[in-house]
Amino acid sequence: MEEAQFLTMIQTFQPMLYKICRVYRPSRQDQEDLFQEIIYQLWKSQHSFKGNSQIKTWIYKVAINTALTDFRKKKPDIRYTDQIPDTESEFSNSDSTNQETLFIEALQQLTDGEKTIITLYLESFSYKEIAGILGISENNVGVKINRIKIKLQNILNHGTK
Amino acid sequence: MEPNDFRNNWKNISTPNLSSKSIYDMLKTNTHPVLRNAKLQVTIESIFLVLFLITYYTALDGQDKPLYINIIFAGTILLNVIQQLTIFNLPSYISAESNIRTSLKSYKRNLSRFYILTIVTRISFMFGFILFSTSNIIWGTNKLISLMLLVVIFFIQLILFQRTWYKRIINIRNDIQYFEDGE
Repeated sequence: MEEAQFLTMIQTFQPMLYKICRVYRPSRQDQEDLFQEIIYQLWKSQHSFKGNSQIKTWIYKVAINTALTDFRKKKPDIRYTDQIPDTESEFSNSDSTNQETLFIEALQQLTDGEKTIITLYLESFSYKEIAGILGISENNVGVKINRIKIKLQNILNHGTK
Repeated sequence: MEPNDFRNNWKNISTPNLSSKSIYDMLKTNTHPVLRNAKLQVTIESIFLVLFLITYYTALDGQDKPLYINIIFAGTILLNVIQQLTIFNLPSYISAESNIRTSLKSYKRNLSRFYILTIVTRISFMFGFILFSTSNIIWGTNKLISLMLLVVIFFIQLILFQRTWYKRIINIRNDIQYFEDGE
């Protein structure tokens, strides 16, 4: 894949990647780090993609794998600057609505395994596709999705797991 | 919010639009801070160990020690350098044909191997150092206290390493267990 082709592909799928970063990492700095790492891993592993599966499936696999295995900072990264920036970071969440923020915060309270399954479901992958991506049975996918939905609704309604 | 709304909410999440130039820069420079710091630390430690390996013989009177002690000591230093450099092979890659569960299992194996071998090589280094520094010397209180201090510092460092890496392994193990639960 040529660089230009790759950049176009990332442009297409960047909303999906950005959402994954928001679910797996609470701070904006960590989201940016993870996003960058995912792009880098996609670029490095692109030779392994032979077109046998959908490109979205491959991108998702690499993104989730990176989110689960990437080293995280031990402490929140607080960076002080001398001046208030004139423009917002490209990663700014300023357009987030209250409902959106609540939804993302609820997703962030799930375990990493649960985040993986529910984000695949939210991205409209079929149970069969989710089972293939994770390497588990379709039946197991269905059971887990139902449990996660209930847990997520409890978090949204009561603010607890 | 009802479960039926979850997908709509997901679709409606606002996302930024990174420019092609920003994405291009990410391709060219992998500046991930956590991994970069870990690799930088390993590189610096390895350089120090190699320098120590080159200079210890004259600086620490290696000629006054038996040959086998020099060989053991130099061997443990060299083992540490080799083991430290294996961190560069740690990042997990997933091929398009593989799945997340298989990839996590392979990653956990690599992490566990790195974790155990690092502890073993570090303890062997300490063993080699104690063997070297206590050979052919006349013991005094100051020398004994210095040696004890070094051993304490070494073990504190080892415990810190052990805690960080064990936590990483446990996290991956929990993810694998979650996926396998119900299989």
